Amino acid sequence: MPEARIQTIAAVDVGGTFTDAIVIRDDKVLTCKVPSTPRDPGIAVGQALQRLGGADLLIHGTTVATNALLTGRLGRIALITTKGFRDVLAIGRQNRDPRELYALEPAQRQPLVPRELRLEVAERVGPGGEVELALSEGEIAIAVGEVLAAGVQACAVCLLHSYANPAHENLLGARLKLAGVPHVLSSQLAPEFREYERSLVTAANAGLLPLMREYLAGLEARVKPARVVLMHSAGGWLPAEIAALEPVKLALSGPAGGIAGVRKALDMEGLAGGVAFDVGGTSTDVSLVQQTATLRPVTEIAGLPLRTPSLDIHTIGAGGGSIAWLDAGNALHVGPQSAGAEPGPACYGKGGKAATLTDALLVRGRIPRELKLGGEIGLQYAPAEAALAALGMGTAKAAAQAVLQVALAGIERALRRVTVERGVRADDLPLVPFGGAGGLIACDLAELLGTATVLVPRHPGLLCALGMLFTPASRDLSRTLLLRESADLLPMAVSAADELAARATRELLDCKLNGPFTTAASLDVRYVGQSFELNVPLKPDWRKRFEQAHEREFGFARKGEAVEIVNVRVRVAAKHAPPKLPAATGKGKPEPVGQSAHAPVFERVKLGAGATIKGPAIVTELSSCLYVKEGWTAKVTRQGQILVTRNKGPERKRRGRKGQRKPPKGRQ
Amino acid sequence: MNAAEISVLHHALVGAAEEMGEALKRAAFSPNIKERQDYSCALFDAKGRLLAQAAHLPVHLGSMPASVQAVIASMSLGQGEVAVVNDPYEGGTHLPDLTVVVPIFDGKLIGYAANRAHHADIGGAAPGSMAPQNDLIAEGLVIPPTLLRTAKGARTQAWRLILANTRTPLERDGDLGAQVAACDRAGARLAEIRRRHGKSYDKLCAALQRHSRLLIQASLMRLKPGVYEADDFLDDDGAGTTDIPVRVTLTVARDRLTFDFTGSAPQVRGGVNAVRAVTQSAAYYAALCIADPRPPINAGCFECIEVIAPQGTVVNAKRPAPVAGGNVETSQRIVDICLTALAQAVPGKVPANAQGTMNNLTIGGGGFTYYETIAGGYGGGPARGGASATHSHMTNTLNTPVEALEHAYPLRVDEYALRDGSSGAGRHPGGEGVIRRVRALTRAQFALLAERRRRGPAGAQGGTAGAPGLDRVIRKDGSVEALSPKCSGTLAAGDAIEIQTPGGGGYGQP
Repeated sequence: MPEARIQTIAAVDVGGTFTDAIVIRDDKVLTCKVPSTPRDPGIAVGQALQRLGGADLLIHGTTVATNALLTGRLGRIALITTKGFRDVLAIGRQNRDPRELYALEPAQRQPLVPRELRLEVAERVGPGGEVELALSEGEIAIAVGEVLAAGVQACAVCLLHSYANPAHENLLGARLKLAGVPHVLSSQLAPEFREYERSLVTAANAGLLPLMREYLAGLEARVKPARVVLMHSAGGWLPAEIAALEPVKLALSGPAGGIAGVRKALDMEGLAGGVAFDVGGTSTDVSLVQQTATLRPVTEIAGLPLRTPSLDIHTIGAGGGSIAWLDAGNALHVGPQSAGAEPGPACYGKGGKAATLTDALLVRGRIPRELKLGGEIGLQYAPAEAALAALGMGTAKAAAQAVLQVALAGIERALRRVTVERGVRADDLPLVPFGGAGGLIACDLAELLGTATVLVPRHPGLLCALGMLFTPASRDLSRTLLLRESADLLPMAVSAADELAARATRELLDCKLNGPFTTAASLDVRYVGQSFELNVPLKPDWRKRFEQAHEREFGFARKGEAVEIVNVRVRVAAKHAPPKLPAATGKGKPEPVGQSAHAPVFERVKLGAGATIKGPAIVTELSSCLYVKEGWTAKVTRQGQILVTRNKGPERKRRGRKGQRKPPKGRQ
Repeated sequence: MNAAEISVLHHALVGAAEEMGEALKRAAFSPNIKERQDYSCALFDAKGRLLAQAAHLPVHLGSMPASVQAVIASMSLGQGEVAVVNDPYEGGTHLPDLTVVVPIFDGKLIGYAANRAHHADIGGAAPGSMAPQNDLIAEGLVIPPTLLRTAKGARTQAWRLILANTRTPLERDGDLGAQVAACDRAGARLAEIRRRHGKSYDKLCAALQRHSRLLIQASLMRLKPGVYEADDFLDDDGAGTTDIPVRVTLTVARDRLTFDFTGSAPQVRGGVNAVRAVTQSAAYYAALCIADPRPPINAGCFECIEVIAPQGTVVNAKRPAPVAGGNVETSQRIVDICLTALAQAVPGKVPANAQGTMNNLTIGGGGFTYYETIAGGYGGGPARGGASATHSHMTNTLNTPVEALEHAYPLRVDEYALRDGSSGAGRHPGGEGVIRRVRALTRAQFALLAERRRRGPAGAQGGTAGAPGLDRVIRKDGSVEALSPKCSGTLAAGDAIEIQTPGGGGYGQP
C-alpha cells in the first residue's frame, strides 16, 4: 500500500529550558514541550518523541557541540602541524577581544590543544601546492609514535597550504588510521586557506569527536527504531554517520532550524525575504533571511572563529531575562546580565529581585496576567511591579516603558547590523518574530526600522523544530582554489566542483539516502588584492554576477579589474516531499477571551483565516504571545499565519518620505 | 533627560559607527585594512566633538578628534564634500594613516563622520612609508586638510595627486574609495537618528557627553589624590640618539587628572617624535583603562583630563620632525609611564609593562609592499598572568595569515611561534613574545621600527622584566647579522629576517 511508504517525520530541538518536539500526523500538527535534561539531553529527546507517538525519521537540533565549545569541555587531542607553526592556535590572530580594548588585563587565549600535544613535522608545501620540502617516512613515524605515546582520544592534522595539496596530510592520515587513532585532516574537513582558522576548526572537530560519538550512540538506542539525523549550521540535515565525524558542523544546529522555519513562513506568503529575530531568555538571535540562504564562511562560538559555513545568525546578549540596571551616571542599561531560568525574572515568583525585560512587558500589560509560560509557569504581577519600582525611575509603569525602550534600542542595532552587512535596507523587508517573546516587541521594532509588515509564523514558540521538518538533507563541501582569471579558469573550477559534488553524493548514498539529489555549485570571488570574497553561482557568467554583487553590496564595482576565484563551494541536497502544514482551525468573528490593561486578549487557536484584529490587542497561544500595537492591524492569512501591518494614515505618510533617507550620492 | 533616552541614543550612535566599520572593512582592498583591520571609525557633532566610536584602535580613536578639528579650522565643507588629511602637524599622526572626514547635512550641518585607515604605502623614500628617515618629507606624501570630493560628488585632482605619489595606486584607490563610502553610509544613519529624536536631539547629545563625564569623574573620585611621577626611555631614534627620556607628572585632584609631560626629551632627528594628538591619545587611553565602570566613549570622557606637553619635545614635536614611529612606538611608551603613574593612585590594579612596541616590519620591492606589526607579551597583573602573543594597549590589529601572505607576496614564513622564556617571572608571570621569521624569495628591501630592544618591559611589585626584543638577518649562507631596532636594509633571495618580540613583565614576587 502506498500509505505504508509515507514516513512520519518528527523534529526535536533542544533548548536551555525546554526541549521542543513537533510531528505532523494525519493532517494534524502535534507539539510538545518537555523540560530539558542538560546532563544527558537525549533523555528529554526520547521523552518528547515518545509523547508524540514516535516517528520513522527524527530530525534533531542539538546543543551538545555548542555547549562543549562554550564550556571548553572537549576531548584530549593532539595536533600535528608544519615545523615552525605549532603555536598557531596560541597566537590566534594576535588581537584581543574588542570588548577588552581598554582592559588592563585582557584574557589569555586558551588553545584547544595544550602545547605538549602540539607536534611538528618537517615538511613544506608552497601556496601553489608545490612541495618545497617532502615529508619523510621518519618524520611520520616519529609524530605518530608521539601521538600514540600521549594516549589521546583523537588527533587533528593541519599542515600549511594543505588546501592546495593534501598529499602530506593524507600520508599522516593513512598512518594514523593504521595506528587506530581517530583523526581529522584539515584538507578533508575545511580545505580553505588561513592557517589559524583551519587549524582551529580541525582541532575543535577532533575535540568533539569522542563526545558526539557517545551522545549519538546513546540517543539512537533510546529512540529506536527512528532513524536519527542532525540539523547542521548551514541549514540542512546530515545523517548521523556523517555528523558523528564532523560534529563541529552542528554548532548552530537549533538556530538553523529557526531560519528554516522563517524561510517556510515567508514562502507560504510568497515573500522573498525577511528579517528574523528570536527573543530567548538570555539572548536574541537575529538573521537576514533571503531567497537563497546567506551563508557565513565562519561560525563564531565562544569567540572562536570556526571555519565552517553557517546561516548568517547574529546573537546579542539581550533577552527576556536580561536585567535592567542604572549606572553611576544614572543611565539605564538592560543586560548583559540575565536572571536566567533560576531564579528568573521577578514575575516568575521564584525569588528573583531584579527587574527584567519580561517584568517590564508584564507591567506594561503586554503579557496578560493569567498567561502561563509554556503552559506551565504562571506569572506574578506584584514582584514584577516591585522590582521595576525599585529602579527608582518613577512609577513601575514608567520604569517598564524605559526598560522596554532600551532593550529595543539594543535589538534594533543588531537588526540593522545584519542587514547592513549584506547591503540590504532593513525597512524593505518584513520582520519575522519568533521564540517566546519575539511577538511582544515586533511592532515597536518595525516602527524603529521603518518597516510596515510583521509576519508571525505558525507555532512561533517551536519554530526551530517546525523548520527542521521542512529541511532537506544537505552536504556542503568547499575547497580553496586561489586562482587568477585565465582562459582555463572556469573549466578548472567546474572540475573542482564536480569532484566535490561526486564526493558529497557518494557520502550521502553511503548513508542509504537515495535522492534524487540536487547540486548547487558556487564560487567565492574577489578582486586581486582584496581579502574578502563574495559568493556567486558557478555559471559561465560568474564574472558579471560577481561585479553585480559587488555593486549591490559595496556600492561600486571595478569593471575589468583582475579577479580571482578563492573557493569553490558545492551543496548536494536530497529532494524530499515536505509535509503539508494543515490549515488554520478557528472560525467566525474573533471574540476576545479577556482584557489586559488597555488591550483585549484573543486566543490564536480560535482565529480563522481572514480574522482581523485592530491594535491594541494581544494574541496568545501555547508557546508564545503577540502584541498588536495601536496603529497596527493583525490579519490571519489563508495559511494560518498572522500578518500585522501598519495602518495607513497621515503620520505614516510623513515618516515614509523616501527622498529624505537616501544617502548622499558619491561616485565611489 | 530620562535615563532610557541616553542609552537609546548611545546604542544608535555606536551602531552607526560600527556600520561604518563593517562597510569599510568589506569594501576596502588592501590586506592591511581587510585582514589586519588597521582602521577606526567615529562620529562627531557639528562642533567636531566626539559623539561615538566603534571599538577599533585606541591610538586612532584618541587622536581622530584632532583631525576633525583641523579640517573644520582650515576649510568650510559643504554638503557632499569630503576632506582627507594625514599631515601630522595639522590633524594627522603619521603619514600612512589617512583620515577621511565627511560633513553630514540634514537641512543644516549636523555632524561629521570620520574614519582613519593605515595605508600600506604613502610614498616617500622607502616602500611602506614606515622606514626610519630623518625628515618628514622623506617619510611620504604630506596631505594637509584637502578636498577629495566636490559638492557634486566628483573626485578632485587631489585624489589623482595622492595616487600618483604611492607605489601601490590601485590598492590606495580602492581603500580610499571604501573610506569615503563608509563615511557616507554612517552620515545617512546619523541624519536618520537625529530625525527620530526630533527637537531634543542636540540636548540629548549633550546629555550623553555629560553622562560620560559624570562616570569618569565618579571613577576619578576613587583615586588617591596626589602627585605621581613616572619616567622611562625610548631605546633610540635610529639616527644616533639613544636612551631618550619620556617623563610624566600626574596630578590627581578630586575629579580631575593632569598628565604633564614636562621633562621629556627635546624632539630628535630620527622618526620617533610624537605629535600632540598622539600623546593625548595615549594619556586618554590610560585614563579609560582605570575607569570603572567604563563610560560610553565620547568627548565628555576627556573634559576632566588635561594634557600638558611642551612644544619641541618628543611628546609634542614641531614641523618638520619625522614622526613615523611616534604613533606606533612612542605612544606605547607614553602609555607605559601614564599607567605606572596611575598605579600609585590605584594600588593593586595596574599590571606590569606589556611589550611596549608594535614591531613594525615592512618588506617591499618589485611592485609589492608588505607591512605588519607583530604581537608580544602583556604584563602579568594582580588578577592573572599576562596574555602571550597579543597586541597591547594602543593597537589591536590582526596578523596577516601566513597562507594569505605567501599567496600575495614573494615571501615564505619559516617560523611563527611563541618565544619561549621571554616572559618576566612573577607570582603572575608576563606573557610570552613571538618569533616571526620571514624569508625573501626575490631581492627586497626591508625596514624595521621597533622598541624595547635595550631593556625589557619592567616587572611590577617584585616581578622581573620581560626579555627585550631581538632582531636579525639570517643570510642564505647561514651568516647572521644583528639589527638595530630602527633600521633598513636589503634582503637577497634566500635571506631571512627574524623578529623576536619582547615578553611582558612579571607581577609580584615569583
